[in-house]
Amino acid sequence: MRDVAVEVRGLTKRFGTQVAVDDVSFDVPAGRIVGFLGPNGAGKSTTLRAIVGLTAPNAGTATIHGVPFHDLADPARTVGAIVDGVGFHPGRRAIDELRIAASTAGIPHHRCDEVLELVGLAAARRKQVGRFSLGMKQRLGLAAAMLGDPRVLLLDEPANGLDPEGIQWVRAFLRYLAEDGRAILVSSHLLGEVARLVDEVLVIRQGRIVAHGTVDALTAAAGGTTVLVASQDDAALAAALAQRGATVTAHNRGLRVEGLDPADVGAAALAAGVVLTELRAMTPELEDVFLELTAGGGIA
Amino acid sequence: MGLIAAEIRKLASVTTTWVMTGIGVVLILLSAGLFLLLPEFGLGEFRGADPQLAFLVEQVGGASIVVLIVALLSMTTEFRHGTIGRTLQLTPSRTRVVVGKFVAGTLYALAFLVIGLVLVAILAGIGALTAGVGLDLAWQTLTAIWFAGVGLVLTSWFGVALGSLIRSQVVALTVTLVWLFVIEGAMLTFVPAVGRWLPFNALNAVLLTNDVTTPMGGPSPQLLDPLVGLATFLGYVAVTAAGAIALMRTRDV
Ligand SMILES: Nc1ncnc2c1ncn2[C@@H]1O[C@H](COP(=O)(O)OP(=O)(O)OP(=O)(O)O)[C@@H](O)[C@H]1O
Ligand SMILES: [Mg+2]
Repeated sequence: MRDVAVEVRGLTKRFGTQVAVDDVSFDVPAGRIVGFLGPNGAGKSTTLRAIVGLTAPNAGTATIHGVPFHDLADPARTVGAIVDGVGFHPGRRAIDELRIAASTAGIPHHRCDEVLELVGLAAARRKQVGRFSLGMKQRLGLAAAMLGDPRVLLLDEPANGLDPEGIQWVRAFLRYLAEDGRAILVSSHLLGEVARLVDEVLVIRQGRIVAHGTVDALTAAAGGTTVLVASQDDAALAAALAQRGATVTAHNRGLRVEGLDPADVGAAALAAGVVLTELRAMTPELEDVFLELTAGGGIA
Repeated sequence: MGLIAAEIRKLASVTTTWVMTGIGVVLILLSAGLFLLLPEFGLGEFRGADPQLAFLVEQVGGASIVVLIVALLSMTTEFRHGTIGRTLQLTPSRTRVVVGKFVAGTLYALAFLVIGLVLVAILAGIGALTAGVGLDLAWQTLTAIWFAGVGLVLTSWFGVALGSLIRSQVVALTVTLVWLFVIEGAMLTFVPAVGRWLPFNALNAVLLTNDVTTPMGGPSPQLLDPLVGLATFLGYVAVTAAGAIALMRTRDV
């Protein structure tokens, strides 16, 4: 039996007649990073908000290590979260926001400076949150989530609105947290954004889980990796690739190869004696996965 | 304990609290100062007499609007900026969260009372020195202090409750101020039999108990007896507070 950090069973939330979350069930095992993917309005935020008790579900349960959020003896040390709609007072200094959280949770105040250091905001500790950039606010959110050094993290689009550098920083930060064996549920619109980070992926669409599995399994469901390749002799390369069973089509000034992974494409070029000028693997976008999932059966 | 410390820091770490307190200081200084400087306003020549001191103390309760707004904002700002989400993640019991606000409101109300009393004491001291009289602090003044304290604490509870019931900052402030200054004022003037039973008029019966009848201040003959006013306002506070807790426990945040 695997140790389950977050267990969601039959979770349903309606807003009026609209079903935002529809009978959703999944586990986040301890020590794993699970990507929670879905387009706008799919129900990601509502699900996360229900797990931390901000939204009361119409049906179903969510537990952290077997305990509903409301009954956690020490919530801050059990689960940290960045949730939609949870913010900071713009007129307050960063350090005050953290001290408020720390006092509420019975966490010593020196921990506030530790988490600011951890997210690289030590220099801005006395700055008002209203003067923070979006990226700094996201970091402060992560700092607040990390105050109690929880083993479970629920992060709703932590990279939302960040520039490429910021996204990279968030990724590196999550990887650092995960290496410590934490369970992390992180939501995103884009498979590509989390593909290299997560152990498994949950796909939600119109309130329903439509896929749950590893990134590889999802990618396979979406038709496998696409490789874009260009060479000094595309005709010869196309022939060599076709011989290995790939579907090859012309693409810009090169070839689009489906059915082979990048290493196979390289090997085929080597065997054919063709010099490659470009080789790029394309992870399918979430949209592709959706198309595949709606066209045929999903993966379980 | 941590929850209360956090609530106090929430209040102390935003400018609004300090600005409102500053406004309160100005209000108290102005009203108490004017009564001292201008005897014809109704206080008469300052002799340091007990009723006169009690009347000055009432100017602290007269600034109760400050306590009301600070308490109301303590709730609505949490909703406005989404900090309520973090508060509830750290304290999942919503009843505790609201009770924490009541306690913080109480502490603010008492702090405001102390500040106000110090201001009044300074003004009365100056007035006594100038007039060359002593201060005759007796039961009337003590009663006024007691009513001011109770009135301000209950005011803070009412503010917290209103802020929880009407979460939108703008709506809560507008509704409360229009109700307080327009509706209750008009009702007391035109339909006193009903108006005097409205919450803020009942509160005023608590805060303005002194029987120095004056053309400008002092208790309006329209108001309830102080203890009846206290019981009435307490009733309003109990109902809104219970409603606030019930609503907090069930609503999505
Ligand atoms: N408080 C609310 N009242 C009414 N409808 C709501 C509320 N919160 C969410 N919804 C609706 O529920 C659905 C799911 O919303 P949710 O915010 O969970 O989606 P999401 O997957 O997080 O989307 P996004 O990627 O845009 O953040 C949406 O259709 C949304 O309009
Ligand atoms: Mg969302």
